[in-house]
Amino acid sequence: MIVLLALCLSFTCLTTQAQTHVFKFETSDIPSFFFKVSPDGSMLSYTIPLLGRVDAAPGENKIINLKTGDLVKVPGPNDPVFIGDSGLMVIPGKYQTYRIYKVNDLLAGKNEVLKEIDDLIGYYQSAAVMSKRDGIYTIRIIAEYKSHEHPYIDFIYNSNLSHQDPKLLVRTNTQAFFVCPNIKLKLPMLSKDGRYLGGIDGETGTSGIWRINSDMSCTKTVNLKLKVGKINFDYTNSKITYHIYHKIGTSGVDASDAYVSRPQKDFVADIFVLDLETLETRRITDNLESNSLYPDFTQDGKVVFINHPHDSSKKVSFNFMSLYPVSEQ
Amino acid sequence: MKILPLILLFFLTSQSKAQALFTDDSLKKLLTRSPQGMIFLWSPLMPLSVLGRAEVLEISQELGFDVLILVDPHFPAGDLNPLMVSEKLLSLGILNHYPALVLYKNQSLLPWMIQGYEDKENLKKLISEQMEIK
Repeated sequence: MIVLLALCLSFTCLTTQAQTHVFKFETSDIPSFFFKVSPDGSMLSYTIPLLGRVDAAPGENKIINLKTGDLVKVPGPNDPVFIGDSGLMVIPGKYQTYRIYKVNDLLAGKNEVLKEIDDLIGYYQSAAVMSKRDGIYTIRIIAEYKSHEHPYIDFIYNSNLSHQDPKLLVRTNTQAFFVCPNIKLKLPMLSKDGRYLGGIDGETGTSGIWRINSDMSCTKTVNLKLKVGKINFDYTNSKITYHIYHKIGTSGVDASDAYVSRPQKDFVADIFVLDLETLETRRITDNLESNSLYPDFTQDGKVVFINHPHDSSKKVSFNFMSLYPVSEQ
Repeated sequence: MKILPLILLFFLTSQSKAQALFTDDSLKKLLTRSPQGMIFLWSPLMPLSVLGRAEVLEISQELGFDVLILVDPHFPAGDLNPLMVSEKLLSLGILNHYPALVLYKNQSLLPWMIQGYEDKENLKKLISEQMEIK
């Protein structure tokens, strides 16, 4: 449970408990930094930038099934995002709008659009399953339309019905309204249950967490006191994870104690986890020659991140890390 | 002048024949020599930042501001934009998300960094507001 921590959060409490690297998947692709993992950790989605192109939408999307090794190209120019464990995916479609697909259809090479969402306009969408019962899911998706305007849609998805059934996807807000209209917010990312979001506070310039109230206004619950990469929540709202770029030899928070000899090589991105109950910040990676980016959680609590070596001749990898020694789980 | 070619030649530290570094010293010189403008950071590995790069160049011409384009220090991908190696900008979190746009005026960085892609129309409006253009 997230509590009000806004004024008492300290980043001096970095811990060094051991974590276990449980799985590493190397790819010959050069994905963009942003990727998503399915809740059970069995699939990854990402974008391959079409390097050298400077026109619009320069990328192609892929999903890899880690169980089978199948790698499929899927529609859209960027940012394919799993909608929790609903079996759905939301991908940018026509200009600034979105399309919803069934993941299994995509894996089978069928690109049938389940739903066009023309009134959720923007970028950087995130999606959440707010509730589920007997194959019926209540889903929320938000996007960033303009700097501080974030439309959202809520809908009910009945996975027991056929594609043609008009009740397959039922909108519960008839048009997109804005979430958090009372605050200035950048790059918001929904919690897994759609009831919180993390982003950058437009007033302070630092990252934070907000609770989404029933009237869609938002109340700040955590001030991170520094700017971090996109925040992702775990499945119990007890932890968040993010990346920070910093100089090698520093905590990622205090960048005053390192000497720069090769500037661009001494900047690294590392992964952190903040426990929202104990306020402890745990550093997950300690990179010297690579950047670890855009971490997220699986349902069983593993932290998953992409690792881009500075040496471009080395392979990019996706890494699954347990926060605790495996024997303690 | 919109894209700072002469200023770049003057203050950027040459790393090699092909690629320059944008350091803290470069930043100081930029703020001294350019009355107001924008620093735009992009990465070849973030598609929306690629899109933003072209648009911010158009905006700079339309608004009459200088713009300096910097590139991901770890993945320049053959591009000749200077590498972002300024510790000052690093400490502001500029690398945490591509693209990022920092505005400056009267020899100071403005406090609000625009992080993340904005479409051209909105970005132009945001820049105008921050620079207090009527």
